Amino acid sequence: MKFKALSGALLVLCLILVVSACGSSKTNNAGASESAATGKVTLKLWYWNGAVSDSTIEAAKAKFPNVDLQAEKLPSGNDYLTKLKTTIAGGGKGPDIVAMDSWVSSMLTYKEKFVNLYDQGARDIQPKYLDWKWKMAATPDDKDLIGLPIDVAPVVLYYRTDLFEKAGVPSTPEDIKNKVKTWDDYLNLLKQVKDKTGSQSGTIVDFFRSLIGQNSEGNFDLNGNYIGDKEHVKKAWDASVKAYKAGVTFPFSNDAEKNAAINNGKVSSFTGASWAVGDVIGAAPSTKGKWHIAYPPGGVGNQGGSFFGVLKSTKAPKEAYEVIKFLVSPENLVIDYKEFGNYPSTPEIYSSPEMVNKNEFFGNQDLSPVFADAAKDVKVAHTDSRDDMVLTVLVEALGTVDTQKKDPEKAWADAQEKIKRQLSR
Amino acid sequence: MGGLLKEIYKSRTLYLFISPFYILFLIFSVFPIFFSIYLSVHKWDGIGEMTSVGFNNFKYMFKDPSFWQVIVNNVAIWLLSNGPMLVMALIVAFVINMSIVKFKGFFRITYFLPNITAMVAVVIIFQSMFGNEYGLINFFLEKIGLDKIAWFNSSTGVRVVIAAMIAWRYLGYNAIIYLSGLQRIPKDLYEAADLDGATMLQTFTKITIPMLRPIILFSVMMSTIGGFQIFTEPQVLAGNQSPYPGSDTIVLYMYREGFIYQNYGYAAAVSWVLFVIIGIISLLNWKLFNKSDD
Repeated sequence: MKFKALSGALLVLCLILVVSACGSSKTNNAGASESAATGKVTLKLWYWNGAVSDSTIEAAKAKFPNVDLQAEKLPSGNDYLTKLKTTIAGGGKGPDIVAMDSWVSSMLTYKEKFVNLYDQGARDIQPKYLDWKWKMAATPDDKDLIGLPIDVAPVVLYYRTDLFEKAGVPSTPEDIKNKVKTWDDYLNLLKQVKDKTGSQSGTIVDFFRSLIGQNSEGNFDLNGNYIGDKEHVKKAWDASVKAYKAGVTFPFSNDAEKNAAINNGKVSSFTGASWAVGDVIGAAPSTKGKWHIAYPPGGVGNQGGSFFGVLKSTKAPKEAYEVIKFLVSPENLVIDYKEFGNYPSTPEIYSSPEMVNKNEFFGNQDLSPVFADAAKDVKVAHTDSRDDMVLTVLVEALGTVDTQKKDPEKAWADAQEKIKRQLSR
Repeated sequence: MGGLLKEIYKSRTLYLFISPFYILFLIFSVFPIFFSIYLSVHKWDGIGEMTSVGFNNFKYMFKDPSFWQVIVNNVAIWLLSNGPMLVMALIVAFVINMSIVKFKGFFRITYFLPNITAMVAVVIIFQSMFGNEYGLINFFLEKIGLDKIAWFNSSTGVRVVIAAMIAWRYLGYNAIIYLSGLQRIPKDLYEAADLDGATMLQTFTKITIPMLRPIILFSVMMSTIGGFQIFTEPQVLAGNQSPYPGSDTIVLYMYREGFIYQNYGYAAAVSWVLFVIIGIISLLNWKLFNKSDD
């Protein structure tokens, strides 16, 4: 009998342990629970690898001794967004501070789930940041702000100096900025480069992405009406098709193919965001020293860059705001730039000596001034949570123009029909 | 009812023993199953309010050409991969089982190895092998004087690549199953055939195949169920955006609708249609399977 009672007690204990293991996250995650004993505020921060550098997080821990900052690195991309969305849907128990990517505007729909940073005094630091970047996280009436800017990703032109020289086209960053102003200029340049060297540019889809990245209008207007079938998108579509027909685009395929082509000198130039620096260095080791970057044709654009926001469910909005304000301060953004290449969103430091970023891969060109030039006056289009779907359908259809030789007008019409059907439900 | 509860109470210690599994099972399996039924008649983006839409999700699905396209893709990939693969597996098993073959254990392990390799790595290697411009396969095709094939430019090409991946992965697995079936066939049948002067082909078609029938049906059934759940290969191959033509499968379609476009209600509806499809096919297989016992 004694054995039975003992085993029964043990089992009950096991059960309690199992059940409490399921629920324990609740007690830990209660987030900003001020423990009476230490007087410390616990703040949980979610970010992904490369959003901010770990050393700035360590610096924040040292700077705020009264805050127990628990930073959690999560998988990036769509997994992160899904986790964040489901967490918010489940009542927001979990993180206090969250990093957000350029999809931040689509979270404005749920602005009541976030702390309005204007209430915490964010207007005081607003002048330090790029205006267009700041506005991405603010409501159209500028009454609510759900995120502070971290970095921006200005689009620049990556090109092979040697191939451009060989073709006799403008080959210094200054010349390119002054002489290659529009996409038509760029297309003519590419034709010459192709005739002389046989090398091409990015794919038809790369062209399209860069072109729509320069638009001031997106796929949806401020009221959520679909405008992705209008002139501004069709123009980008037609220009991409034109480049494809001129034979200057690299065949649309996977990244491995494109990287091999870049390394083999089959790609003379492409437009890409500032984070493509790492990509091209990784993809094309045998072209080291031959690359340069320049102001992009057709004007500036932005592809990426993140924000820090505070969830409404936090118990310490004041402290959370102070922490993110510190993390996105110009001094810390310089550190991020040095460690990851994330370009800061604070113009005041663009000219500081710390920002000099000479890179052997780019023939010792200082990359920062070009990025600084390209980061100014970006026109940001209104984003919508349905953009992903629209872009996927358009890109898929545009790809078939190259891969299956589909008629561009038919592909456009089919894609629009598909998008409208998707939006109709 | 009271009697049942009494019985449960009597053996409460045992129930306590198995309860951790059932509690977790209830939370992580039973609840989501029922919740997905509820979800399938709603519209929900994951954060906002859920709105009841009746059977609109299903109506939209049956009218959506993409949905029918993914079913066509799925069936095509399934036929392309499993047909040749099961035949090959049978041949491999037959050869390994022949008495003249030495090192049977070595072959068994080598053929099974692909099955336990990391899928994502395999997909990436296949992707660069079949590359349009710089792929190994095209390199060899050119070496022997043939034209390059743009594998990823046509839906047939993409399906062949995906089917090749699946076949490569499951060839050994099915061969092992067939091998165990072969070893169950009594030796005296073969000896008798040998005495009667039967050729190897005759032995294979008249003894091996009929004796293996239940095993073959089992493997066909399993690969059918697997074939309708193809996900990793096309997902890694094409990424989340701009999928290759002909590579979308039902599960990938469901995943994209749910976790990329945040149409959770619609994705739940798709999952229930997938459930019905697999159910019907399993039922058909089961009928065939039962017949074989007659």
